[in-house]
Order: sequence, then C-alpha cells, then structure tokens
Amino acid sequence: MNDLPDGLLLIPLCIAICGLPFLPALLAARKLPRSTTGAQGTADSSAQCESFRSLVESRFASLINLARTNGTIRGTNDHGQPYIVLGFQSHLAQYLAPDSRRLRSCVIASGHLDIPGELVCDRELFAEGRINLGHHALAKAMLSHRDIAIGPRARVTHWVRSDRRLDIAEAASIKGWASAGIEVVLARRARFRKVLAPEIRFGRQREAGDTRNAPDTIGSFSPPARSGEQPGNGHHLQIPAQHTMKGDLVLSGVLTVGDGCHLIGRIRADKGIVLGQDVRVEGAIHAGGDIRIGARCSISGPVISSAGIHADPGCVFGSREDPCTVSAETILIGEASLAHGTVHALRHGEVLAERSGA
Amino acid sequence: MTPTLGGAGPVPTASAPARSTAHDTLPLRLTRAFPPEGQRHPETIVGSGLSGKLAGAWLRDAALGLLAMLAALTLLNSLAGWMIALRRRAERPLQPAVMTHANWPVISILIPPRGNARARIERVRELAEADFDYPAERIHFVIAHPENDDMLIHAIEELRKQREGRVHPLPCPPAGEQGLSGLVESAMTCSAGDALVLLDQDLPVPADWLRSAVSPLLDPATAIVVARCVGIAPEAGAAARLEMLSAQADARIVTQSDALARLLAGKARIRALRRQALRTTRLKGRALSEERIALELAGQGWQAALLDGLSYRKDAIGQGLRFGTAIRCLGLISGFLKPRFPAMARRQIRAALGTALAMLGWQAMFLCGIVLYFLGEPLAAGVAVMLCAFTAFDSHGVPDSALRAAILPPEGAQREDACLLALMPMCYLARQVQGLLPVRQLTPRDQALEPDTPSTLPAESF
Repeated sequence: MNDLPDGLLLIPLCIAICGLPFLPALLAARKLPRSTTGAQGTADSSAQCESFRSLVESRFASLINLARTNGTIRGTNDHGQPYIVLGFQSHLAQYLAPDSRRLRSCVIASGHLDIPGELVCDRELFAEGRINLGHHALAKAMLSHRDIAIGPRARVTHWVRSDRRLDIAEAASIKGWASAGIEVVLARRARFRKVLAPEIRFGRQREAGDTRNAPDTIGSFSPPARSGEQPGNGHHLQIPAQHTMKGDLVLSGVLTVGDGCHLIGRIRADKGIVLGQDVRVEGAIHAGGDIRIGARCSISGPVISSAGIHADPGCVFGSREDPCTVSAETILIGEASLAHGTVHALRHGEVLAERSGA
Repeated sequence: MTPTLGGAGPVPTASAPARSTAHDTLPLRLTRAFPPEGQRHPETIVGSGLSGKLAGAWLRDAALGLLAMLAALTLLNSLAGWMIALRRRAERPLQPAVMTHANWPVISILIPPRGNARARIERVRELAEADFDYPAERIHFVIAHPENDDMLIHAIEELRKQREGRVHPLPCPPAGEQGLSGLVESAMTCSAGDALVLLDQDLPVPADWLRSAVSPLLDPATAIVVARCVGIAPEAGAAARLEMLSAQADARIVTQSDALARLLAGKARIRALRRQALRTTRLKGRALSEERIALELAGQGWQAALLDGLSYRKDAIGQGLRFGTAIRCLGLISGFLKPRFPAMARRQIRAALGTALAMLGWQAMFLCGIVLYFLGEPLAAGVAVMLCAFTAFDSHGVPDSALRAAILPPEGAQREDACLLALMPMCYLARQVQGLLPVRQLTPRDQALEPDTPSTLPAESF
C-alpha cells in the first residue's frame, strides 16, 4: 500500500523537472520592442548618424552639386523610398502639398533647410547649411554641417547631430542622441536623453556680474578610519560646512556634505549623496541612490547614479580640458548650469524652469 | 493446488481427494501486505548481519531524505531563478553606460610571452599599432620576454623608441615556467599608472574594450574588472551553437550586481586590477588565479565589475566553478555579515555563496543517486541523475538553473538563438556522447602492432 503513492508522487515530479527547462523559451522567444533608451540604443544612434553621413557623401554628393545649379531634384532610391534634394535657394514648403502634415521623403538640402511647424518628418534630414525645425514639428533624425535650431515643443525621435551649435528651444524634446561639435544649448523645460558636446548649457545663463566666488574652507576633515586597506568608511557620514577632505571615500549609507566644502578624491555612497551649496569636488562621484547637488557646485569628475541626479542652478560639471560624464536614470538640472562632455539620462532628463537664486 | 499469498497462513498439507468441496470454494484472501520482518526471513535477524542490515536501511532512508530535500531546494532555486528572470525582464535594467568622457587614469597593459617567437613579435607589433578607444599617451605596455629571446628583445627596443618612456620590458624565465598569474606581482613593480590590464596572448584585441574596462575602476569601491570570452555564433551546425549558448547563457544576465558569481564561473581573460587593492591582498608569493584574486578582494569588501563579449575562444567556454573554489567561497560568510562593507560587495559575496552552495548541493545529489542505486532504489537514483542532468549545463557540472537562461538581450539578431534555448538540456546528453567518442578512437594495442597493417602515409613522409 506504500509503494503506489510514492510512484504517483514521482511521476509529476519528473514531469515538472523535465518541463521546467523548457519554460524559459516561452519567455525568451517572446518578441520585445526595441528600446532606444539604453546604452545600446544610443550607441546605435551614433552609428546610424555616421552611416547616414557616409551615405550622403557617397550617394548624394553629385546630386547636391546638380541641385545647386539646376534646382531641386526629386526621385526614389533603389528601394522605392522617395527623396528630395533641395536647391540652394529652394524652400521645402514649396514642395509640400497644402495642409500637408506628413513628409515621407528623405530631404537633402544644399543650403539651409526650414521645416515648417507641426510637420511630421518620417525620414532623415540633412543640410549643408543651417536646419530650423519649426514649433511642434517632429523629425526622426537630423544632420547638419552647421547649426541646428529645434523650435518650441518640437521633437526629435532618434538622433540629431550638428557640426557646430545645437539650440533646443523651450519644452522641446530630444528622445535619442544629440551631439554638437561646439555647443549645445537647452532652454528651460527642454527634455533630453543623451547629449554630447564640449559645452552643454542648460537654461538661461548667468549675467556678467552675477558671479559668486566659493567661500574659503576653514579646516580639514578626516573620515572615520578604515580597517587596514579595506574599503568602507562607515554607514552614514556628514561633512561639516567649509571643510576640506582628501582621499577616497566609500560609504554604505548616505553622504551629506555641507556648504562650501572642498573634496579631493573619489566618492562612493550606496544610498545617496547630498551636496550643499558651493561644494567643489575634484574626482568621481558614484552613488547607488539619488544625488542631490546644491547650487553653484563644481564637480570635475564623472557623476554616476543608479537612481537620479537633481542639480540646482549654477552647477558646473567637468571642464573644457577634462570633460566628464553625468549619467543617471533621471537627471533634472537647474538653469545656468554648464556641463562639458556627456550628459546621459537613461530614462528622463529635463532642464528645470526655476531661476538661480544668486 | 490452491494458490495462497503472503499472510494466508501455511499451505494445507491434506491431499486433494481429502479436501472438501466447500473448502475449494472459499474465496482467496489476497493482500499486498508483506508479513512482518521476522516472519519473512527469520534466519536473517540473528547473527552478525543484523547491524549491517540496519545500517543499510538507515543509509537508504538518509539518502532518500537528503535527495528529497535537495530536490526541493533545486526546485526552489529554479523557482527563484524564474522569479528573478521575470522581475528583470519586467524591469529590463539598462546596461551600465560606458563613460564617453572622463579623466582617464594611466594604465599599463601586461603582455605575457606566449606562443613561439614569431607570434610574440607579431603580438607586440599588433598592440603597438592598435587604435584603442583610450588616450594613447595614457597607455603603458609591460612586455614580458624570455631573457634568451633576442628577436623579441629587439622588437621591444624598437617599440620603446617609438613610445618614449611608455614601454617597460619585463625579463622573465623561459616560456612555460611562469604563467600569466605568476607575472602579475613582478609586473606590478615595473608598471605605471593606476591599473594593470592583463591580456592573454591568444585573444584578438578589440579596439573598443579598453575604455569600458577602465570605466568601472573610477568607482572607488571597485577593485577588479573581468571581461569574459563570449563566443560568436559559429558557422557549424546546431550542436555547436547549442553548446555555445549553454556556455554563455549566464553571461547574458550578468550585471554589476552579481558579478562575482559569474566571475567564478570562469571565462575571464582580461583583468584590470587596481594596483592598490591587489597590494593589500595576502596572496603575495603565491600563484594568483582569477578566483583567488576575486575571493580575496571580495572578502576584504571590494567589488568586481564584469564586462561581457570580448571575443570567441572555444576552450575557454567550458571553464567552470571548481570544488576547491566552492569550499573557499564558504569562508566568505564572515564578510557577508559585516555591515561595514559596501552593499555591492555584500551582494557579490552573497552571490558567490549561493553559487558555491548550489554546486555542493549538485554534487551531493549526484552522490545520493549513486548510493541509492547500489542500495536497490533504481527509481530514486534515476530521479537524482535526471535532476543532475537538468541542472548542469556545462561539462564541468556547474549547476546553473535553466531558468536563468530566460533573460536574453532583445536584439533581433539573437531572437533565432533564443528559440534554441529550449533544447539546451539536450546538450548534457550530447556532451556524454562526446566524451565517449575518444574511447571509440582508441586503437587496440594488438591491432596497432600488427605488421600487416598498411600504412596510410607514404614512405617519404617519415
């Protein structure tokens, strides 16, 4: 009477064991939407930009020269996709149907390119001159040898690259990768994902006389001694205001830095970092939680957070000689801030509309 | 003759004619109950065999209980892996972004002397001309060379003239006497910069890996960066692709959170070691393997970061967690209890402990199967072996749940491979067959020595 129940128990056990390894295939084989928000997406965007640039140089160079003398050329490529090569004095609006709200052609301009407002562009845009994207317009990708201006509430869904300056107006949105050879200027309430430039300006900048020097430090601060050479300086730590600290700092909790401190070294805090006003950091900052940066702080190294970064107005990240990377899931930066290098918001980045109190 | 079964009493000894008709029509008393132990074999309960029988019964019960417990733990582990897979798939964590701009530290790349002289010189020239994604003025080369290899020394001198002050020759014993790990300590003294990058001789050098390898070292809590070989889908048939998929299934889910467990699973070929962290280890004077370095650093509270997708190397795919390493992992439990350690280091210690315990459990389950087979429980032994088969994916018996393979990158190019994951358990059987093939290729001694066996090679080949 005891053998039969044992055998019956073993059968479903065997079936379950045999079937379990097959379950992942159901999930793995499920088709997932491609996301352009991550590092992979941005890497793809830069590669797409370079491939589009090489495509223009190889396929459209002769057409651009022809359009300069003979005017606009329209046609389709080998795959049947339409394109427009605009002449030097031509305007895109001339070739759009009245009340047209959608442009399905790839546009190559030998001069400036003006995209009318509220127009949806499904293909890439290229101009040897300046590109102006009108208000509420939507473009997939843009490439210009000169400046690019993105109008209010306009959107770019994949990438935008200007070899000189890139101006992003108020409440505009760059959902992918944005890069400029000289400078990127983001107005208030502009949204971004990944921005690369030697200089990235956020919101309205300070006026000429509106500068304040950081206060001098009044003493040095020594963190709790670590045991031997092991990392770890304790759980929570608070550095009093206007103190200087040298050396690396590794915490398992929250680091709170008072106003006017000067930190020389790399910082790691697992739960979060709170920097006061006028703090100078010469080194990298890593945090597992949020990083709150007070007004007019200056950080010369990378700022990496697994959660979010909230920077008050007037902060400076990196320098022109040593650009840095600012990366977090969410980045909120106040006006009058300046970054050199890369600002990468993995999910959401926005320029806050509040004005500096200085 | 009336058939009787156990429990029906003694067989009647009366002859057939003497039996009454009423007795023949009595219903049979069939029962599946066995007689008491003493009534079945009364002669076995006396004498010296009593203790042996009792010990065998106790051993069988213990093995069955242990097997049931391990099976339950295996299922729980699989369920936990499944839940982790679902959670990560739902959250879809983003890969850590490689820094595009940073104040990159000065690093040194150690090039060990592997291969023949020509290969060494080619390797040095290849590295000298490589276009890394790293500031060239911040890269130093530490080139280990045998003292008697004049051609390599000459090539190093040429490279030294090209890169003033950034090439450091490292004399070492002749090839084969000192491995890569043995060179680390001497390379630490003659290298420059904040990090030492160990580069194997026989791997191709991708141009875009150096920046991503050094980026995690800017975190002051990170001591070691490990990059693993991830195979490129070979052109060979589905079996080779399945083998490769099963080997790197765990690589797909690697994040910085559980780097150490994956690191212990091997396939590490490039290690960037923070010099200061390595100096603090107590391993000076010993051979430094990647497991020992990682365990030592994790025990001190440092954390490791793992990179993925360096290149393809077939023999590196099957490296697994060794038994000695698993035992050593158990010593990390003291570090797990220290709240002073950074959270990432504690997480890595936890991952290492979990991996080690899973491996020990796998081996205990396999042992239970063997014991139960010899104790006369073939069904339970079969269940144990089947459990082992479906929880071990590589040829070294590393237990990694099949459910962990559920996470794959969503790129469309790998969608086809993802469909093959369901067949991954079959790789275990394929490996068993593959292990038997060399036996078939052995030539019997008598047949090999037969003088009449014709040679397949022409005489001038000798």
